Amino acid sequence: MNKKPKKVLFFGKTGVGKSTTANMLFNLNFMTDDSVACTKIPQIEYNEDYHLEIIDMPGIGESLETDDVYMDFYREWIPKADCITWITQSNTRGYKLDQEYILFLSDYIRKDVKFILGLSKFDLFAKSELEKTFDYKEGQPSEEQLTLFPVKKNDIYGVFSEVSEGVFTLSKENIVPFSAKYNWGMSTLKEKILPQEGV
Amino acid sequence: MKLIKSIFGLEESKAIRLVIGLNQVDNLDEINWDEKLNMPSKRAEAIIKRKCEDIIRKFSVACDISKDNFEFYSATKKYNLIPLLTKIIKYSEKNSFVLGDVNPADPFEDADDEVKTFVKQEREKREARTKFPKFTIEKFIEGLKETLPEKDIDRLIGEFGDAKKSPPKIAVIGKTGVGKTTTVNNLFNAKFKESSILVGTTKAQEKIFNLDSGGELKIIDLPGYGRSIKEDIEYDKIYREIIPKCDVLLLIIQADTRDLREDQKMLIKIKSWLSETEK
Repeated sequence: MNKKPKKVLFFGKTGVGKSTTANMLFNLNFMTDDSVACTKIPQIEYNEDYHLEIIDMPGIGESLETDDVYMDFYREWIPKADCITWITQSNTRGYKLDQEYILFLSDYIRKDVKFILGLSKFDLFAKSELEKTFDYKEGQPSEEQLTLFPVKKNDIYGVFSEVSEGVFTLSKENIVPFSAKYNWGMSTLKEKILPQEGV
Repeated sequence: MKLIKSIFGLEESKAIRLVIGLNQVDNLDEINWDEKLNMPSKRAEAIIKRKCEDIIRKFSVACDISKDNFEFYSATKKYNLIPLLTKIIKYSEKNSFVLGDVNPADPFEDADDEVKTFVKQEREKREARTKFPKFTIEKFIEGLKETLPEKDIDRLIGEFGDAKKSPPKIAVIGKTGVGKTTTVNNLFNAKFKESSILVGTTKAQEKIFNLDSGGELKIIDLPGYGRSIKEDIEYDKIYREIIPKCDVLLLIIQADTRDLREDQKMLIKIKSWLSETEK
């Protein structure tokens, strides 16, 4: 393993659970906090098992002031990424900020980047905020959630495709729902992130 | 109501006619909601206050807005709706619109049966103890007849008549999925069409209520922003047209989120739209 490690970059809005997800997937110790954004500068850790460099980026959308400060970090790190794991929440309809940042960063994202769209907090995904149908005991999504998901996936695919065209390739298979809190969908997400054998 | 203000020596208010509701405080991470009482514990309440103060501080810095314009609540839990409504009434500056005209949903409806029965009994007891006649503007003016000259009384009656004829118009705005429709339903105890997480409310919906005082109340449920760049361009046109015309605007923000940037940007825009029609 003399090759340089591949770089996997975790990116997305503040509070979606980038650090938590990276920690769970690769057994890392990025700092997390429930209420305060704590990743203020990019955090880099090397994972020996998979010979990967994991980079946890400060989240977008925290406030008008911090976004400008973080932009310099994004410009520095995004062009280096072999894989961008873009995390956004399942339990929202709002993806405009994600769109805006794909546009802002379009000149810096490598055209051949592997783009994984991770949909976090799938346990909270529901038809309306009143019904939480996730099976908390078993840590499994309800049938209703699984039935609803294809519609949601198409919707998100549509919204992201509006801006990804010509910037990078987004495939539907790389849109992965998961819940870090209930450890559901994590292995699928990890499989997608890991480089394919022989590449 | 210049006359009233001159009589009682009140200053003309310069406050912006905007109330910012911090919704879903029951979802703040380490909160343990007391399901039996359907309210937060003392400790949870302290956490709610601390987190909301933090959000408010971030908004004051970025958007130059007073903390008086904020109120926290939870639409799904029907929590703290009366303070929210009181603020809306205050900032609407409409005399035809008083608390009691509309009754927010009762949080104890969702409490434990035992608690529900207890609350009901206590309320009945209290009502029996304090039987005040209902306050009405007519009676209030009647009472002033002894102290004010007749021409002022006539002007007052005229002004209140006018106020009744022009119902307060409340517009509700917020990021998509923030719970605008649930808020409206529970705050005014009305039934709007429920919207789902997949599509959302994409048009401005208007609903008119009859108030006990004889007037009307108009609620405009605006489409949620932040779904996509394309949609927001369209919605901005709707907002720009409707917002300056409303008496008070309720901006709903999710308290259990850290991404406030879009809301801050929207608030700056809203402030400029509202100031276009400052009286």
